[in-house]
Order: sequence, then C-alpha cells, then structure tokens
Amino acid sequence: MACLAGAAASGCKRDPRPLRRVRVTFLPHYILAPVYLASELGFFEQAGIELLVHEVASATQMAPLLAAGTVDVAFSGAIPSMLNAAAKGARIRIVCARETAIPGCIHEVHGYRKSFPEGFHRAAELRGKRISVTAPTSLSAFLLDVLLESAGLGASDVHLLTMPLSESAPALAAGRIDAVLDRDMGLSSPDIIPGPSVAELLPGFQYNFILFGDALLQNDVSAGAGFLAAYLRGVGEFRAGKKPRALQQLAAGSGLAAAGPGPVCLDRLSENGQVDRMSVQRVIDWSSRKKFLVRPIDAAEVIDGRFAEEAQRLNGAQHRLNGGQLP
Amino acid sequence: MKRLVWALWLPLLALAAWQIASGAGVLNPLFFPAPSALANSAVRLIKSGELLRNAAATLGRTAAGFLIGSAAGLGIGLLMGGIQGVRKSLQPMVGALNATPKMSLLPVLMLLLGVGEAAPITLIALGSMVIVSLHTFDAVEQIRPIWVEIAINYGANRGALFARVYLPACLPRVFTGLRLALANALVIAVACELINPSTGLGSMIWLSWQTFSTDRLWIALLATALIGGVLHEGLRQLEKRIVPWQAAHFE
Repeated sequence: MACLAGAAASGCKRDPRPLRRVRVTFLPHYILAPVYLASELGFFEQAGIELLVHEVASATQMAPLLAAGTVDVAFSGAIPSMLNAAAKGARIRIVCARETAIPGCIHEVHGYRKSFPEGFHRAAELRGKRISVTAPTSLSAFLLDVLLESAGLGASDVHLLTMPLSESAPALAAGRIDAVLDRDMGLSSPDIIPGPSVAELLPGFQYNFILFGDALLQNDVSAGAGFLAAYLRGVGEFRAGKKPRALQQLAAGSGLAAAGPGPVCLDRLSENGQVDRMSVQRVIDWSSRKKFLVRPIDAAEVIDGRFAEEAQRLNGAQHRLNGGQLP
Repeated sequence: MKRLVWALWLPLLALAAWQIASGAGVLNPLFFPAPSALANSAVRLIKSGELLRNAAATLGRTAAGFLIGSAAGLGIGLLMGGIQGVRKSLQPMVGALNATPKMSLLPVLMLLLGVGEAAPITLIALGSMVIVSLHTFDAVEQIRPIWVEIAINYGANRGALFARVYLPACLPRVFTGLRLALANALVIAVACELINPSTGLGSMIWLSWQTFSTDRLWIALLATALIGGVLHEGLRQLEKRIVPWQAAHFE
C-alpha cells in the first residue's frame, strides 16, 4: 500500500487538516488516469482525503481485499467474485459508473491475420476458431458470449481457451490461437487485426464501476461522496485534455502509446457516475446462467446510488463557486 | 493402525480447532467456512462428480508427466554416473535446469507445443526428469568400488553386476528422488492448471477464486493435499516392497 505515485505534491503531503485515509485498489491502466489527475491537482486533498493505492495484478484479487476491509474502494467491473462476496453478506456495493461501451471506441477482439484471410469483420467468422479470454468469469468472456450470440453461435462452436493476456498476446502473434478477447489490448503486430466491435451490439452498456467496502458505506455519505466528487472532477479534467504525469507509465503498462486513447475514447468515461441498473443486471444474469453465482441476485441489491448523486451535487456547487469554470 | 493414528491426529486437531474457532466467530466465514460446512459442500461436489472429475484430470497429467520424466531421469542419471563423457556433457545442463523455476518455461513450451496438454505434461516431465536424474546420478556415485570388485572376484558378469550390485545400491536414493519428483509433478500440474485452467484441481481452485467461492477453494486445496499425501504414501509402500532393507532401516 503506497501513496499514489506522482501525487506526492498534493495528495500525500502533510496537511494541517486531518486527512481521512482512503485505501484504493485497481489494476494499473491508462483509464485510471483521472484518479492520478485528481490526486495531482489536489482534488482528493480538497475533499479531505489521503489516497493510498494498492495495485493488483488481477481484478479478482479485489473482492477479498474489499470484503476483508483491507481496502475501501475498488475500481472493477461487476465481476462474479464481487457479486458473490456481496451475496454472501460482505458489505460491497457498486457506487459509481466509470466506463460505457461506445461504438468505434475500442476493439474488444483481435484476430491472427492468417486465421481470417477474408478479414475479420463479423462475429460469425469466429466459428471453429481458437479464442482466448482472460478467465471464464471475466468481462472478456461475457463480451465473447455477446459476440457469439449475435452470430447465432454458442460456446460449442468455438475452441475456448483461458489464459492471461501476457500469454495470449504472444500466442496470438505466433498464430497459436486465432483470436483474443480483451478490451484495450495494446497489440501492435502486422499479423494481428482488430475484429468486430462489441460496443455496437451493446451501446450504452456500462462495464466498469467504482465499488465501496464497509468503511465508506455509511449512512453519512460525505466521505464516500467526497471521494467520488474528486474522482469525477479528475474525469472532467482528463476529458478536457489534461494528462497526469503518470500517464506515460500507465499507458506503457497497458501496452499503449504514451499519448493514450484518442478523443472519442474518452467519451466512454462517465462524467456523472450514475449507475445503469440494466447493465449490472445483464452481467448478473449472464453470471447466473453460467452458474458462477451462489444465488440469484437483483442488481438493486448491489448498487448504492446515494454517493454518486451527492458527488454530483458537490461538484455542481463547486462549479457554481468557480463561476461556471472548471475548478 | 497405530501409524494411521500418528499420521492423522495433528490434521484432525487442526480441523477441530478450526471448527471451534468458526463456531465462536473468531474466523470470518467468508474466508474460512467451518469444516462442517466444507464437508457438506464436499459431499455435493463428490455427488455431482465435479470433484472426482477434476481430481482425475490432475492425477492424469501428474502421472503422465511423472512416468515420462522419471523414466528419462533414471536413464540419464545412470548414464551420467556410468559414462564420464555423458556426465561432463549433461551435468551442467541438468544443474542449470534444476535451478530454473519450471513454471517460467511454460510460456516457451506453449509457443513450441501449442496450448493443449502437451506443454504442461512436458513441463511436469522435465521437472521429474531433473530430480530423478540428479538422485540417480548421486546414487551411482555413492556405490563403493569395493562392492564392485568383490562381485567381480566372485565371477559376476555385467548383468549380475547391474542386478546384484548397482541396482540394489542405487534404489534407496532413486526412490527418494522418485518421491520428491512425484510431489513436484503434482505441484507443477496444479500450477499449470492455475495458469491455463481447463480441468483439474488447479482450475477448480482458480475458478473458485474467480467467483469468491471459498468453500470450493478450500475443498480443492484439501483434495490436492490429500492426493499428495496418498501418492507419497503409495510410493513409500512400493519402496518397502522393492527395497525392504531400506524400509527396515527406517522402521
């Protein structure tokens, strides 16, 4: 657990006010840039928060950390481990939307050029192919199922493999597998081509969220809302073109150029944080069909919208205070 | 029977302590479900066939890799012990391979052999081969020249020398190598299943982790430990039959 890298000038420095420590966990990725930006610009400090970051290598590591109270906030999808932890009684709730599927923004599937000699434009071309996802419970597996269903295909029509991106990327480049499902793959090889966009099948689908653990899920929403308000201000700044000092490092970690994503892709970052219940329910229903859940869950059980609403109110007040200018 | 009591009292005591701690609320049931709850889940998993199916997959990979690797290791170890040129050529490579974390070779093997069963079984075989060859080589090295001289003086030919001197002298150490290699084979099999999960106890552990199903995770872990213990004991019993003088020494 360490103070946010590159944020020593603001979020981590000594302050006469007693700052509340908020422990955050995420997979390092350029789309986390708003967190770094909010920290560098002192938004968290202004909200009375000192940010402590616990980076993990896999999204599933977050659920135990959050359930055990080792961290207070997780930047994650509505993955089965989170849903099951909540279903088993752990105080974990989805409190803020982060990313929405925007057609043309990212390519969720990539193929080996020689495996698709006619081009890789339609999901139907996946029939009979060796396809890798990071885990059967992952968002990539969900997206693959969406793609296959759109083409009237099922799991038995493809050869499904599970392996981390660190292995699937070289395996794809070597032609050992035909396609890889993973959004934002930083693949740059002439032998690898992008495939059809899942976002076109699921426009407006929210796939990444902020989750709070017990420490922030209090009746008094001020601490949690303050955290979200600072984060959403970071989103606003990032979308407006500001970049954190850590972006190069984050982009490299995501296998992307330091410049990060193009402007259209920033639209996928939610600015108001409002959680779309249907998106969460869609993943829950898929997880349930796959028998990943310990019991049926209603999305309303795992969503707490109070914090995002209060955060919006706080940011609206801040905006007015600044005479309509970004703070 | 007495031996069984000695082997089981400590794990049973640990389980009892776990049950009491769970009942008293000392352990978080999210992470440490009570052993009684685990037993119920285990019964369900056995009835559904899931546990046995996965255990069989792990055992299959372990056995295939172990048998291939051990046979190769035995041959290489004997050759290294008996022929100086082979020893000089292979010893540095086997030593280097022994010091290499085996799991780090998996991506390379996957690139060479593809993403099926070939890569994990080759890795298990490689791990077994290294351990068995080193122990076999060591065993051959430990044979006292006087034993060979006496046997020759009594008229032993090459076949008799191998059957009556080399083999009996090597077997205890070879069996030590086989026991270590078997445990190592199980470890590599489960580790491969954790990385490339399809079937097996490792994939069950991994999927349980992915879905925060801690009861299934514990059951798969305990099943792996149980299999490890049973394999170890099985080989020990085999050793008792084949190398009775060594067993008598330990008894």
